[in-house]
Amino acid sequence: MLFNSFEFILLFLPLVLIGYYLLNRSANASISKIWLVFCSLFFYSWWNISYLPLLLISIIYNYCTGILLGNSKSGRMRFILAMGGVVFNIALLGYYKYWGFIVFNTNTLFNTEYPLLHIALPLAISFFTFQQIAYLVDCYRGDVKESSFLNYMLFITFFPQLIAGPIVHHKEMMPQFDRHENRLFNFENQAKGVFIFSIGLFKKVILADTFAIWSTQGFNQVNELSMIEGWVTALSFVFQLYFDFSGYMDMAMGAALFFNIKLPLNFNSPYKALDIQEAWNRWHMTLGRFLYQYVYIPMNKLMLKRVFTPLGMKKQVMLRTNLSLILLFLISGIWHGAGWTFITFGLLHGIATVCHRIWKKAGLKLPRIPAWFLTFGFIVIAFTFFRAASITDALKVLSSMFGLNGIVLPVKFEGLFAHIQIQNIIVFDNFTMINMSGAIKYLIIGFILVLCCRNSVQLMEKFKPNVLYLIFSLFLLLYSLMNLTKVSEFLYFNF
Amino acid sequence: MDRYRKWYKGSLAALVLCMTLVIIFNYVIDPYQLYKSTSIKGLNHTKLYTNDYLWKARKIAEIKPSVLFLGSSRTGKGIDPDYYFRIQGEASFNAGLSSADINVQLKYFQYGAMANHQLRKIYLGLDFEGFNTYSSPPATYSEKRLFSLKMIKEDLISTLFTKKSIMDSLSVVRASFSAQQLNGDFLLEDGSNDEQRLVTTVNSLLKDKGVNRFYDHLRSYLQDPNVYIRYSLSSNKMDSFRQVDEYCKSSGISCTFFIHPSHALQWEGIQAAGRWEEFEKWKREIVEISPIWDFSGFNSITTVSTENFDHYFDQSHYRKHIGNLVLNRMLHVNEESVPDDFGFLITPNNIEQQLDRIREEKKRWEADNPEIVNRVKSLAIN
Repeated sequence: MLFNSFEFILLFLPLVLIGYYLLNRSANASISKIWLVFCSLFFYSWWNISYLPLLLISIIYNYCTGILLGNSKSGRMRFILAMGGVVFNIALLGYYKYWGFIVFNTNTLFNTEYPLLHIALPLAISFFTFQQIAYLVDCYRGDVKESSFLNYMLFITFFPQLIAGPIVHHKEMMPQFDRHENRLFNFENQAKGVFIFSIGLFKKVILADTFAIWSTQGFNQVNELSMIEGWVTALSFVFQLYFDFSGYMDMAMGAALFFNIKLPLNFNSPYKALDIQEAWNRWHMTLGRFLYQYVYIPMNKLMLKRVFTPLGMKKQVMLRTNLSLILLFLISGIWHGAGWTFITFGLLHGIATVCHRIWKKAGLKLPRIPAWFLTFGFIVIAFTFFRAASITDALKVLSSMFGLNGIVLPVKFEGLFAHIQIQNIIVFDNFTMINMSGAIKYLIIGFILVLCCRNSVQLMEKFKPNVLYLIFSLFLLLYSLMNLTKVSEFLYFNF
Repeated sequence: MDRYRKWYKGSLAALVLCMTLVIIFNYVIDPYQLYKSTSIKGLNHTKLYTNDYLWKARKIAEIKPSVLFLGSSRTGKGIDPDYYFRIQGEASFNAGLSSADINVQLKYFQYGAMANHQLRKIYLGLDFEGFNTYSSPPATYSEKRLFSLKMIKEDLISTLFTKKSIMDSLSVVRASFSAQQLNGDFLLEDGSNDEQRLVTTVNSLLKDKGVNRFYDHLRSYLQDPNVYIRYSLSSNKMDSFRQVDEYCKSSGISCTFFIHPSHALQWEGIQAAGRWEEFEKWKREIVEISPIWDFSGFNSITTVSTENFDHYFDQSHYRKHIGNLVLNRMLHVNEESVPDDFGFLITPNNIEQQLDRIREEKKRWEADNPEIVNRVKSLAIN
């Protein structure tokens, strides 16, 4: 079920809430948790019930491994169990997400004909897999112990964060469900939930889905883009992705708040960043946290132990860190999708982060405005690879952006340039993309919103229960609902 | 906490109230004529006809016609159920839909059969363009709505609770209040277009803006990438036509198929676009499925002057009195009114002679009208 649907907003959410708080009146806290798990599985199955068994198998396997880890005293056994669990999760993800990519490239490289299975990607697999890997590692480290299957089910399936994150830790979620005051209806959380949910819905339905018009059209006609159209295409996708994913997160936060659950922050105005490291500290923060804790640190340690120490390079900290960073971003790219475009996206970010570290280490600093332009420009270029169907397509969009496919201006501007000799540089013609003036207006609005305004979480912190906030929320909610005319998936459902 | 309680309850109450008001407003104004709301002069008596796909589906579900005219806007504008009633004594409904290809026509036919198990006759106007792999129906077409005789959720929402519906309701109120007409093809209760309004529109375009719809409309055909520029006869769409024929035969429904009498300019446009051979191939293939009444070509009706709209609205759409001649020929009624060179039943046995005949007609007409031929060619190039 989609957050941006009438079924969810007007039926599912109110019914689940009513049921949850009615059942919370019972002394037995498990009843309301069972209700939430049941509703979450219903929510997951609404889209395609055929993947429900896969989700359940994954949950049961990881729960059992967690229990065994908790009960095992032998360090070796615990290591085997944890590794087994991690391998199981990665194998599951690998099969569903990367098998086709691996087979295709093997066939291309070695001229073989292994059959492509065309396996559809199960919804949310990237998210629930990472969340459970984190859980197993936490169990292995002794940070977490969960004996209740119901609690574990709820931890994984809680519908506001099931499909596209945020990737949460057991220790930050489950204590919230067990707190007595959180079982009571809290008007402050409900009001803030309505407020942030409205912002998220508006971001998705009005902003992201509108930017999608130009980004989709542009990336579908990469051979025909002139310079301005290339920029409109790339920037539209940059804004579409941000408003889509952060809109989803706002709705997830709002929906969780209705149950008195606070989800961790996942976006913090990433396009305001002045360097690439800061951008990643502000973008998909829970993924960054996961990758740092469960990939970067172990990988760094492993390299030190297995590569740098045997080679007598123990003191080459900078080199080791940089290598780890490049690998980390490669993994991040691959996590987003099975394709060379995602690998390029990850590699570009890895190289940029290493460059930034070297730059910083050298004590160099750019003024704020050039720093922002450089960072944002790089983000736009990297996201072009992220969105394009192939590297060739991405390069075509980029070449149009840099004027290599010619500069086209609307015919009405011809008079303005009449006295300048620009015939060889600029062509006056119609754009091939639709409603370009609308695109420019939306891009200006997009820049104002992401650069000059507080983000949704900052707005929620300032929330006051007064008429202004009521009118603002009501407008966003009503206007978004009245534009909910088509099913429009969130981009991160594909990852 | 009390302030939060008030805010929360107030916001929910305001949301419910606003949603209810929007729905009631759209329901009362009923801009698309779907809910049979009372029409009040000065408030909502003017209506919009921009969503013929939905409106005609609802009409079929409600009136359950036993005779259906199917096809594209050529059927919608040219075939007159009122005349059909006069000559056959049977009520019918014109389900011609703008830009509908044969796949869509099949679905509306099946919908008609679902609405009325006693559906007895269909008349399907065939378009060469409707068999193009690259043609697709407009965004207002929804296959889902044709699975149920009740109004589906998506249509209820789109007509009662969207920004567009409220804007359309406001346009209706504004136009009703100021006694103005809204743009768009006005539909009659029998599903056909209001001819007078169409004629007024094309005449005023010619008079006020110097736009001759014969050429202007042909240009849009020739320059649309999915009409003639890219054309590939679709086997899937040919199957849809076969399904119409087979369903009729298996259900005892009488079916009559015909090729529209569009103006000679239309056929010359096909020639200019380099699609004449495919056009003939299309005829050969459809005639293998069923006999077809062919009104296309360069006959005494289709070669009338392009300087007035006495017989045509543009090069594609003919007026109802021409449609009446089509009915006369096919039903063998008042045949004395029909010119001899207008309408031939083509079958696998005579298809080659008929194609030869039209080629000859074409050659003669082109020789007599070199200026028009050159003008059409220039539209295809520019």
